[in-house]
Amino acid sequence: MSEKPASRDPAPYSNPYLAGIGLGLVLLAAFVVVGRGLGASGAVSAAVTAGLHAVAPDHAHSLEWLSGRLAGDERPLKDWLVFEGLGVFLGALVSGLLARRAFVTVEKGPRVSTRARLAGAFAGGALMAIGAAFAGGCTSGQALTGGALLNLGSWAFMLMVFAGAYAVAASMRWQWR
Amino acid sequence: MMAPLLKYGVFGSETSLVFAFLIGLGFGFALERAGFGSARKLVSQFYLNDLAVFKVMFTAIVTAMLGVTYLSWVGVLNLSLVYLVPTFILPQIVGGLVLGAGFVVGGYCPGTALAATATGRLDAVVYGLGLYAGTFLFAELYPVFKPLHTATPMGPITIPQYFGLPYGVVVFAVVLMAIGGFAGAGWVEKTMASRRGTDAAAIAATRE
Amino acid sequence: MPNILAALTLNQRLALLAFLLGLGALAATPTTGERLTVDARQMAWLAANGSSRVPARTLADWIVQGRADYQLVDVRSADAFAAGPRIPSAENIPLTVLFDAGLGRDQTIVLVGEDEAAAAQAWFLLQAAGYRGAAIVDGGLAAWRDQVLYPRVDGVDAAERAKLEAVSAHFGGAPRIGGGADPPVAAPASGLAQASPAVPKLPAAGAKKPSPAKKREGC
Repeated sequence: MSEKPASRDPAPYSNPYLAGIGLGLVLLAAFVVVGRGLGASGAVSAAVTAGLHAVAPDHAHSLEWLSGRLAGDERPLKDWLVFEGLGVFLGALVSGLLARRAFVTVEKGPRVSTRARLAGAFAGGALMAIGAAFAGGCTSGQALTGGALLNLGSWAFMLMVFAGAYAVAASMRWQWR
Repeated sequence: MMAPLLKYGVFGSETSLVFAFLIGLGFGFALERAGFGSARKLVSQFYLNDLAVFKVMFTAIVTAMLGVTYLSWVGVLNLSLVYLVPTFILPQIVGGLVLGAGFVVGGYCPGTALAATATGRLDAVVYGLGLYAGTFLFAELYPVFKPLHTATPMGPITIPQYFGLPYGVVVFAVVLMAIGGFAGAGWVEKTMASRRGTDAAAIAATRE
Repeated sequence: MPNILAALTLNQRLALLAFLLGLGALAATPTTGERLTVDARQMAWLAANGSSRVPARTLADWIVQGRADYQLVDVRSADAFAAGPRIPSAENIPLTVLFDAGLGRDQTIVLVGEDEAAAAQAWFLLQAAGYRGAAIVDGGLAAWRDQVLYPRVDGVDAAERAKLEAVSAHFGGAPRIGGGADPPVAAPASGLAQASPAVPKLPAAGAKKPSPAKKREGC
């Protein structure tokens, strides 16, 4: 039997409960230090606002949903979530490098082409952006943060996320299985 | 009473951006540790093969929830100063369904997509482009979406407040539900795995 | 007992820990910041110290200059605020909801109310709760009327008088001469919300004070 250098393989994932405790402590730190929770979709709308403002500032001001980010002398990118997002990127990179799980690839099921998977990724992203915009958050901001704070709307949101995903899962098998 | 530190003036809003970065570091690290930098692992939740998403999410919720409860019980954390996203029940329900559907189509959620981008997943990059496109679309068509977006406002409200239950009782109930859910998740994983053959069951067991 | 614990897997131990913490939480009562601890000597010192009073004319200058580093809060009820005279740029936050308004603990908050006593009550509550930047308008709405809107200009030198006239015109008032006379009854009742267009030399006429940067806290 040939010897495979086992130390070069990607490390197995952590115990999900331990990872969850770690994540929960990070969330708790956010509550205690800054009085708010985590988030991600807000950073995206901040970036969109900043981009629009750079290219077509008057138009950006006319968009009611984003113009609040441009009020006064606020800079849309000087947003807590944008800085948090930079940290998320770096933190994930470090963890991935340590665990040898960082490599350029496309995650997809065995029976689908890369192009189709990327189309699915784009469509999924667009859908989730709209869903998050309606709900005022995504899984980090609403489900995790609001979940820990027993926020009524966040719990309803969280249940609906699982429901929506399970409902659609069968029709998306072609991408993953 | 000292926390949230920012709201008690321990440091200013500029410094809070530094903390945002540090907290993000922990967030991203934990996400990747859990394997959430991989779309296939995330999506496995919804094919009932690998329920890590459920386990990680609810463990995190329970941990932070217990931390908040105890810290505010002893008077260290002023819970009323922790921002609670106001509830708009109808758009949150609709948004949740749409987000959930999008999850299985796209394979990520915004936070995990950022983590996955950092570890080289090109599909996460494309997913991110989709996020921007969707956000832009929402902003442009906001007059159409506004009625739903602002419907049924209930203000910042918690489950204990809404149902008139003591805070601690709800906390305890959530803990019980989570423990029960984790036991159930383990059972589901084993059952699904045994359907796929004994080899797969052995792999699932070593993952626990 | 140690044998039982030793026989549990890691996950089972975590579950047990969670269960025990959850059980303990049954008795928890989260603090929502309603109970205050007051350091009496410190409060007495703060009250005696003049730094928590802002003269009406200083406030007028701040408004004219369009400064955005403070917040002017009127603690009257919504009805009284709508009906009565107001200082321009004041935000109405009734006393009963003052602690839900998301004011910053390190922000300068200038208070005005039905009378000076009402403003002082709000000041005490805010200071006790740790809002170290709270201050009141010295003399309240009455001082605003007597010193800013209708300042007495007899016996004042020319430069000072010109400044008083400009400021009072900015707020829709007019200076008066003579002691003891009440300000003209024909005063615009709802205070003074427009900048007078006849005073071009004052800056910020018509410019809205940029709202204090509201920190976005959602996702």
